[in-house]
Amino acid sequence: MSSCFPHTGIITQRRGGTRNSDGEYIQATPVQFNIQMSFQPLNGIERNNLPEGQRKSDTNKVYFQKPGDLSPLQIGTNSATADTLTFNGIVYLFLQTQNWEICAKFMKAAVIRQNNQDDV
Amino acid sequence: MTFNFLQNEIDRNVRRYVASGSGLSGEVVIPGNDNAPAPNGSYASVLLINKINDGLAGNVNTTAANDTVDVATVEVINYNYLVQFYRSNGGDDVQDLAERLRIFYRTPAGELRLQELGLGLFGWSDVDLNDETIDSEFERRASITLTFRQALIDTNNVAAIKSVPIDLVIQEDF
Repeated sequence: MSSCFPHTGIITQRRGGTRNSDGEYIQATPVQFNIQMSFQPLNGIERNNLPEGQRKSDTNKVYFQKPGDLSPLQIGTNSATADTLTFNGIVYLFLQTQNWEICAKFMKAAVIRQNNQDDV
Repeated sequence: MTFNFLQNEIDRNVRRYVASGSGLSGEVVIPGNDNAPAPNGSYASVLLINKINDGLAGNVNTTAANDTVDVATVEVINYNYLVQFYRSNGGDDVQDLAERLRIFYRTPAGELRLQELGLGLFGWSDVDLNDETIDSEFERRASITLTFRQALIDTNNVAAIKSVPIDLVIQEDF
């Protein structure tokens, strides 16, 4: 099965941040999961389905098997709360997820690069 | 060059004042511009929206040791803080919270709190009602702007001029 997932990535989740008595947000300690995945660019239709402002961004899709204790993925563009995927030292935010675990034993997710969109 | 306070400290003290004045707990009086999820239930946000500097700064000179002078440059600044209240949780309405905050400065507890925090309340706006439609339901919102006045003091130590010798030479033969 590992040949289907040739890439190595790290999923980072932050759950349950708190605020101190002065109302300042304190991020929760991140929980990290090492995953084997297949990291690919989006095809044309998938890219076209993105919101208009994100079509020109560095967006990709990943196929991976979900680690047992991974919480449901939190998508979004808020880096304080959205789950992130680190691949080759670049941080991506999860945009969309599809869970095919019941029938096909994998998850599919679209990710968008968090910073430095112009870098190659 | 030393400043007598930092902006973050004023922001924090204003949030503490808002928490005391409105009766909300400190955890739910949040900065108005932080990238973090909003608290559950009723909460307030505090954001500095502008600083007004009226007039020229003044200098206060004080004689210091070793033939030097301490020059304190004093500038008075008005800080306008926008305080927004979100969601009523069955108990107090957002308008009640804003009104309670507005009148707090005059209560004995409020006067003491201002003194503790080193703040000078200088003015306040009307209470505005800004209800928003969220998921086809109204969410109660109210806002008020509080104006605090602070003196920004920048102290410098400079050498003093104790005396200036002047030699007067009169030339008569041109």
